[in-house]
Amino acid sequence: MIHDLLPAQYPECFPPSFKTQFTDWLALIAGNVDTAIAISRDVAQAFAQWATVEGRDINPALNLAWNHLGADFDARGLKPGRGTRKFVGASAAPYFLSVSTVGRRIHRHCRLEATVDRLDENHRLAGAAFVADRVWHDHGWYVHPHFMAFFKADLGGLIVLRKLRGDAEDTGEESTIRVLAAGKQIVRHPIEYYAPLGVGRQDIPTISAGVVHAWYSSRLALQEPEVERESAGAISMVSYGAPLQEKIRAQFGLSY
Amino acid sequence: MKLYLPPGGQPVRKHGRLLIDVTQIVRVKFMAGIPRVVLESVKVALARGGAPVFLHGGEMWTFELPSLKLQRVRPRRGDALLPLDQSWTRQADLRRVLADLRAGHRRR
Repeated sequence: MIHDLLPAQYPECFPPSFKTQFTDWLALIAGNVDTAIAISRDVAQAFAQWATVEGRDINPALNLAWNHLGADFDARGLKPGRGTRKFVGASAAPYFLSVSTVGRRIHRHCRLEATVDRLDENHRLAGAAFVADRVWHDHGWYVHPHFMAFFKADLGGLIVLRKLRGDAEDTGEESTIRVLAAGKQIVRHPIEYYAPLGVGRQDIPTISAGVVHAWYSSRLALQEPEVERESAGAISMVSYGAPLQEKIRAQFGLSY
Repeated sequence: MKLYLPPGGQPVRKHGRLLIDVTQIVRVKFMAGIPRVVLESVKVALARGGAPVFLHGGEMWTFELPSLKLQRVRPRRGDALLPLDQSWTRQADLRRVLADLRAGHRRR
């Protein structure tokens, strides 16, 4: 598996020993394996170009393939109902796990790691939960659709997804109610304001249990004008995105 | 060199075992890589008669299930080793194992 060629392409960004060690490994791969699988066509081509330009020995029978990590979904034109069901059922796994951003390197005990494993006959839904004192939901709390895991068999019955294309109803809220009403239990993880970092605002859930809540930060990167409109100008890259990134860099000693 | 996109959902191997190198995860536990992706790959490997392996001292080892007893994996004809990208940090072991695999392929 080849994820990238960064230590070879940008050695100035890594400790001095990395380039030699990494290029030795690339050479070992080029000359000795039957198949190298890159995580994108671009990486595969970069590897082929590197081996050629560097004049490395290449196994004449080498197959160079690429395969994207995770799953590729074509969400264009998806609508609630049958399209949603097809979208969720795209993989062979019996469960569906929805994650926006997981900060594995940020928190040692990432509870999401165990989320799917804790689903069973009685626990039909799991995920990060918002609670009433942080957000404004009458019934107290709900599992956020970004951090939700459930059995595909429950889709349409206990779980109804309606928000993939911006439907007004909240997926997590509705699913939570349905599961509870059916007498099933829910594994929930708290999401709350993260005081040690002081990230975001008191009323915006940010980091908890290894989860960086990327709702605003990811949307800011792609849809800043829309987020600014929704928040009446209170949230922007300048007021929220950039300071958040700066605080995380400072807290964890990141140089990028 | 052939550049291609593998077909989705097709069995990759008809013969031999798929041995997935999980050394990095065994050594540094769950702080590197994408454990769930690896876990699912390992499940597929096990279902097809393969095994998760880790490299140590130039040899491949695995855990016997369910006892978790350590067991050396000796390369056989048709075996395929899938080293993940973290293997670049353990090249000495990888070189010896690749040589062993080639020798295993030559054995009748």
